[in-house]
Amino acid sequence: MHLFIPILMSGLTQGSVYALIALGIVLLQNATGVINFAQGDLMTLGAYVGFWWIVQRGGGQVLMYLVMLIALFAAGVVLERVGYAPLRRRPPLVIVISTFALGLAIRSALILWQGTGPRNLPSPFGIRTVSVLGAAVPEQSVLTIGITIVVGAVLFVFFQRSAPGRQVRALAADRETAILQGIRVKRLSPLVFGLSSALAGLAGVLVGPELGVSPGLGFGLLLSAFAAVILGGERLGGVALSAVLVAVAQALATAYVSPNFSDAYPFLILVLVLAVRPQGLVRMVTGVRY
Amino acid sequence: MSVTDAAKETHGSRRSQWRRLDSLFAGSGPTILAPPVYRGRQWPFLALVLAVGCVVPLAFGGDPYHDGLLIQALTSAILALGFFWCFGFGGQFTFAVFAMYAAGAYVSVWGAAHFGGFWSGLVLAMVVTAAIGGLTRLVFVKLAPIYFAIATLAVGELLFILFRQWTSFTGGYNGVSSIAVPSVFGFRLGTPHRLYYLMLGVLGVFLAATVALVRSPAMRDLIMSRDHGPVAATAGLRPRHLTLIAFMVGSAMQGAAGSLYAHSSSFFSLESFSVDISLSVLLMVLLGGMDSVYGPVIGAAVVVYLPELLRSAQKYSDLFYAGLVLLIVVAFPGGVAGVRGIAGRWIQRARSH
Repeated sequence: MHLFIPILMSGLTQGSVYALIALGIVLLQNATGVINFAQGDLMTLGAYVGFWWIVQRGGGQVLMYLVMLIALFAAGVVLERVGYAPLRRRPPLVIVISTFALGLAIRSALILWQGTGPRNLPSPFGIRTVSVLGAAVPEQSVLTIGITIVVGAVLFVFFQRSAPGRQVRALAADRETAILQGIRVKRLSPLVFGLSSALAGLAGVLVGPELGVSPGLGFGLLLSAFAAVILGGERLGGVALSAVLVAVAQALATAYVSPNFSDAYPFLILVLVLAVRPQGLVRMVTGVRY
Repeated sequence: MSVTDAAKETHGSRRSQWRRLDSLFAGSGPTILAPPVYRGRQWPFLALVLAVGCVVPLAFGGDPYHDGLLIQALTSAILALGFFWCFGFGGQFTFAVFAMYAAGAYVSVWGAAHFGGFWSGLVLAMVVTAAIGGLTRLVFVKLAPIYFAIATLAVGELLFILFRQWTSFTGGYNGVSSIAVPSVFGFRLGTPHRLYYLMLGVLGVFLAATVALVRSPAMRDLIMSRDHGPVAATAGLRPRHLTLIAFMVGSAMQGAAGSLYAHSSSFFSLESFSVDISLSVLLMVLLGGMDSVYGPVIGAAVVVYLPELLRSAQKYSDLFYAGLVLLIVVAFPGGVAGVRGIAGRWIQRARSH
């Protein structure tokens, strides 16, 4: 039992990172119908931009977040222009292939820029820990969970209160009707691509100090985020919740079942959910309410 | 080929059969038009391709390094042909290619060690990978194509993790080294030069199977099932069966490629298999073109030989691949095999102006 709290906290931290990636994926999918396979590599890009700013440029931590967010927003817009805009009318699988190729392009560009070796992104708090219910928890974990909660709240307000947010929700609810109502998809899609890749970059910067920064960082986490997306039934709240569920399940299974298969548990959850309930678990709950 | 083409073809062939009968009885009639697919000379062309394949080592081979490249091109061609069956014929995009390749390699080495020789290993590898592919398809049969692609990625990663942990079977990152050397009728194929002809033979058999399918009426059923499953079902076809069979055959070919890779190397480990293989196979098929049986072969040759040509710019190769995929997807959906059609259309457009 004395191990339970640290395991739970590490699960929550990991879950926050999954949630940030998964929210980006769902946001994009709702607004444009694209499933972005480059999301993981955008996350790696974010981590490398952070590394570049702090270690190689000697910049400050707070400013780093700003630089990273701007850089990743720009990267998202470029992605939209190159990989999505010319293919808008093509079958979804073609766009998936193009995002996959863009992901590879980002990964190989990062290798050219920084090499393949792992890099160490320093945490703003070093290795300090705080005591949570008697367990020592790294302050970086607390920061990760905190930022994710804040981002979730901001996104919620954005979607409920702002005009672009409402338009994205309308697109998600009924794409054709929304377009008939005059929602300008072509103007909205660069914004959403930028926003979603900024979310990915945030995940990269937050997870960097814990896992180390390497070119394969994001692609490994991408599938776990997909598990959350599918489990959450493509709704923002459901996805955030199921990201945490997946990560906590992963942490618990790693601790109590077998640490050898630690990276297999999210995939196992993904495969099981796709096989048993392809429409996701959360939709089951909302189905009752209607 | 679109469904309307397929429907036209079905219609055309039935009518031409009737006409053929009529002309037999009446003694005369209008000239009979064969369906377009019979107008192509696929069998002579396949023979030509294989004949050229036999001569190629004389021009490009000779030393172990270049023989090795040729073998790599052939293995990749078989792998890409397998993916082509899954994606082009079965209509199901799969990321699990690298896992099938690995499974084929490991099962084949194990089978060869326990059941006497390379051939039983190859057959066992094909049976096992076909079973894994079929099972994957059956379990996820209801998913939309994109989710099926994600599911195959997860299945592939799970298989990879299984191979990593099951070290008594695979050797993990330490690898496998006691691998049976293939032999044909007691003739040991120990050198890359001899292995080349073995692989060419296997590729020839697979290409022949593909050509036979393309020329058969089953191809029309398959196209209908792939593109319009529910409609095909109302027409009395069994879309899920047909696409499942195509997917299983494709998986078996991927397994065979893994087996050939394993038996042509004296040592391999888990490091040989990564999800990047799936991407380069996708690149091969896209590059070669989805409209032609030879697309995967052309694509494999290009992808294997491209780094040779760009030796000075090797570190840019991945970036180059990614750019190439994008360029193909955006500008040349037909790949190399489709360039003829695109050029034809450009010429037509230029003439009409």
